[in-house]
Amino acid sequence: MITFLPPFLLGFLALSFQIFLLREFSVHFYGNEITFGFILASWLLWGGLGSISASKLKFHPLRFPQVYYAVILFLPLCLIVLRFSRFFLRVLPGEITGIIPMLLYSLVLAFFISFPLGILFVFNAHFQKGDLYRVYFLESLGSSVAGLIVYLFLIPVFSNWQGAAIVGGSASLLIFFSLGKKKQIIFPLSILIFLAAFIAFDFPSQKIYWAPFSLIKSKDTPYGKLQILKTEEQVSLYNNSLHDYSYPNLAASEESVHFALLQNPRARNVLLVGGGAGGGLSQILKYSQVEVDYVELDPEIIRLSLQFLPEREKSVLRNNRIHIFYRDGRAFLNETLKKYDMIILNLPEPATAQINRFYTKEFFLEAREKLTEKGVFSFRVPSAENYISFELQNFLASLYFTLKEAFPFVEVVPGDTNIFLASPQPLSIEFEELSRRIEDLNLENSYVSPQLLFSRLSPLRVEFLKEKVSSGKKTINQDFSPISYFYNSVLWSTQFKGLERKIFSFFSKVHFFWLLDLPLILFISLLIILWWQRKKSTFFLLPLAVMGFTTIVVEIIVIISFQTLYGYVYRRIALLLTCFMIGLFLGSFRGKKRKRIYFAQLLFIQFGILLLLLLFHLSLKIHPPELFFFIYLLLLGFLGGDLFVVSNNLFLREKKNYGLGYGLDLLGSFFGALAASTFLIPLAGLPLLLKYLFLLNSFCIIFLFAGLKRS
Amino acid sequence: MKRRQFFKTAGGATFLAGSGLISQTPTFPALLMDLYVLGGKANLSKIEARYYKKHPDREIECTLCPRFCKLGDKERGYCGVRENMGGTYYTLVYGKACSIAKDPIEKKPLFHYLPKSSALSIATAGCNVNCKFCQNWEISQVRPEQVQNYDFPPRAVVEAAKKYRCEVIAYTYTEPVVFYEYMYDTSLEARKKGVRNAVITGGHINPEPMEELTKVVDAIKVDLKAFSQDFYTNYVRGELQPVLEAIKIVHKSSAWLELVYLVIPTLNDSSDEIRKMCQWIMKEIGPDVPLHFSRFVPMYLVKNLPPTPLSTLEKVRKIALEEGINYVYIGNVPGHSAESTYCPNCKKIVIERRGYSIGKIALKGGRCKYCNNPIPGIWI
Repeated sequence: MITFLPPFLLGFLALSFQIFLLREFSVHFYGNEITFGFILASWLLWGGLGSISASKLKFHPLRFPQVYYAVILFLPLCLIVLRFSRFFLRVLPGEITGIIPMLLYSLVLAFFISFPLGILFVFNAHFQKGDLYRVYFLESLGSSVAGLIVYLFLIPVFSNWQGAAIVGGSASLLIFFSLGKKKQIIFPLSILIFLAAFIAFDFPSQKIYWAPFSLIKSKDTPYGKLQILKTEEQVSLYNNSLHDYSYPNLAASEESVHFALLQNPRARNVLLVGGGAGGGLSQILKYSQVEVDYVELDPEIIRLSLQFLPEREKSVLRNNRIHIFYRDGRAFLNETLKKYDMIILNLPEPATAQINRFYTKEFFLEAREKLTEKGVFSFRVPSAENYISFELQNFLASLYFTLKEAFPFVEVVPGDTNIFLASPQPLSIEFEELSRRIEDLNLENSYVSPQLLFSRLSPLRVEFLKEKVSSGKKTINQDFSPISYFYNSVLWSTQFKGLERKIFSFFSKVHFFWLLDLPLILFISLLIILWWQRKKSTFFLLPLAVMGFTTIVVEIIVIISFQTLYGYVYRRIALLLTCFMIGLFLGSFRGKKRKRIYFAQLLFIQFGILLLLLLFHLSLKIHPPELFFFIYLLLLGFLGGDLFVVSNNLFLREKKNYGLGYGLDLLGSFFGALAASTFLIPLAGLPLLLKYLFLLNSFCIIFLFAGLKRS
Repeated sequence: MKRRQFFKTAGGATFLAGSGLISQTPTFPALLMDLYVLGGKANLSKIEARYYKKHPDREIECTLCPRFCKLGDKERGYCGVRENMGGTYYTLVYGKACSIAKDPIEKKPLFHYLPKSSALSIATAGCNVNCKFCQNWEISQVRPEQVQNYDFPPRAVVEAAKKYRCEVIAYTYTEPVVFYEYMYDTSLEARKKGVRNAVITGGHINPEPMEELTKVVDAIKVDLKAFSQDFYTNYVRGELQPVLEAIKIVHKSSAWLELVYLVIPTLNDSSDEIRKMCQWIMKEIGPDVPLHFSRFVPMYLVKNLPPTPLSTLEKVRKIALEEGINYVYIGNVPGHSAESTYCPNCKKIVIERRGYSIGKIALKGGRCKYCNNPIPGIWI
């Protein structure tokens, strides 16, 4: 019997299944950080409850492997339920759904996988004869290895369903060989047969999802699920079920570039960030002198476009005036030495924290630096033609005032989509002037043409919009305070009549006191009560919950800061997460190797966490080198792992409850993931949040210190 | 006082004064200011509604639209803009416009009705259906308290239309049936001052109010959203039959009728459905009612559907022509040849359109300049 395998596999399965579930979840539900927060929080909640409740269950060596088989079976079943969610929710393919169904789905799906995983943690502790640290240490090792294998080998090659099946199939065999009895061979065998069928069902099930539309291709890339739909002669590309482009679609492609180019028709060097493949590039080529640097994050978008677009558009992508770079747009702009006459941002609106960094003051300043004297910067966001609601006004105003921080001249084109234009030089969106330029250039446009512009650019509409935008709430969208992202979420919530609208509306009005100060005051009160009760075990367990909360929030903060500064570099983000887990593993190893464990060690570790928080707060002000982030997460993980072992050891001396410490750690993480990703980060911003984390941990130290004196 | 409140609520007045635009081209905020507009939330009216029955126990039944909402005291109809207060039914949006703009009539679209004219377009909050593809969901799918309403009583609307040289007042964007009383009274007022009225509606209305309406307005464009009850049930949350009845009523009246069919790929574009609809049109209202097939652009809840391919629009237009309908247009595809009006007799272009712009008009006294064939419509 190979005893190290079960706990190792526990960590491996937990992390890899979480990744696959999360990736598929963002395909079927609105995939922003709030969604991730929900699923991560549900996951941690059930894991915590699972391990706490397992303390009441009796360990049975025969049942032990069966729980593993159950988990391995549940993931594909959950993925199937997720894929057919639109039928349960009775919506069209690609139709957006509110937060309530998303929350319910994340709670239900995470339950089936994470709850048994929580139970398995405790069972493993029994199986290892009470050596909890060995379980934790092997589990962390399993997660670290899973992080590397899944991110670096499985995702780049296989689809989510294939990846889940490969991991599940291998794990069921390993479980059988390490724990199973020969009679039970039927279990892994049936699982393997089921998983083979599951893989075969991957594409057909996607076709069912999109029916009555005709899906002709699907490809999972590290950045999302790309799907191609064909309706008559039209090809549409979807990225995580969000409409990326349809070709031909003159309306969208003309609108994406001409308003900017008409501001400076003599522009030579144009930088196009995103969205060129669907027709935008061929519109730019109408200006004969222009050379384009086109930056696209996901190379598969171009590869699929070249496969399915008609010959005419393919030749545009191969045109020698167009230079394609597969990079993160912001990272590209940061590194290029070139100056551009025009920078056109053709990305989705800031609906995620990840995209928000293209709409911040810092990015606008970077863009301005890379523009020539008469350069023009432009982007567009969905809006409303006939009415500007308060929520839309706040959102548009945040973009307008942020642009104003970097550019003296800003104009906004009205319509169902608003095009923002900014420049160091005066701009014009007067109908007569733009029409004259269109005629001078002999542009044969259908949509950005005098025949439509006279209505769209009527002074009444232009002034009405300008008045609305400039009289909105003055907020500045910043890298570390992504307020436009929050306003966009509020705006999104207004599409639903249910609870989501009320929740977001509440958060958009609520004062900081209720978000940050009150929870802190409640926490201090809790500490006082606990101190009063003089229960020894609380002094050992409380740091675990605080550590769970702190580490998950800091992890999210570090990743947001990293991609803000260095761009979305898929492999490096994966490595960052893995660094944290390796840290956990090394930390628990170090904890395990301690000769003596005593209470004061908790204080030292807690103090170390406090120092790390301070360090990161300071580092936000400078531009730390990339390596800093990796070492930082490694250290944070190290302290977390060490703390886990030390406090559990102290606690277990008092009471033999294997699940409680682990459960509290996960419950702390649950609150952290939920609060940080839904409202704390967008509303309070990273620096303020770090300050409150620092305070929270300081009070935890005071509490421990009081405990030390008592003991 | 009211002026000051406007400064506070609508804001930006200082900006406008400084922009120099007021003197050249009056802007809407300025226009609203001229009219002593008071903007703000919860700016509601309390005018008794016109089509409802009183029942015992302060209950009422709304008879304006086919929903026939039965409401107890303090309840609102499905539209969210009409409320039972103590057994009397009130409209909350009379004279409370939330969206006001000036549009070319071609944008409505109305193609056989005063080409090149301008329409002062107004809307209040609310709608009696819930289309997943609504273009104006910000105002149609909310209650009037959730939007900023302007005091814009009928007389002020007509004055504004005159002042901004709009030949027509269009009741549009949301569903004007829900602000029936406001629309009706404004139309009466407009007629007195020589301004005309156009209604842009989904036609989800009962026969009696529709008949009454046709007596005071000049043109009605009905959005026929599909020709199947299934589509109406799943994507509109309404009923098809009452819409068809409403179309027949408008056709029989003196008001000018045009139909728009928004073609959503694979959901309502089957040849069979289109052919059946065209056959119904030919049988019930004849070949001369203009029919616009509009291109769907993804928005609101279905913002991730693909837009309508051009070939689909051309296919459905071909079917309509085959069935004998004389004036079939393709909408929302500027520059397409099917934007122009062709004489069904000599096939020459009688009104040339590109986007919302009109090129040459070859009409003389409502007839084709080339072959003297009458072209139905309201031309002057």
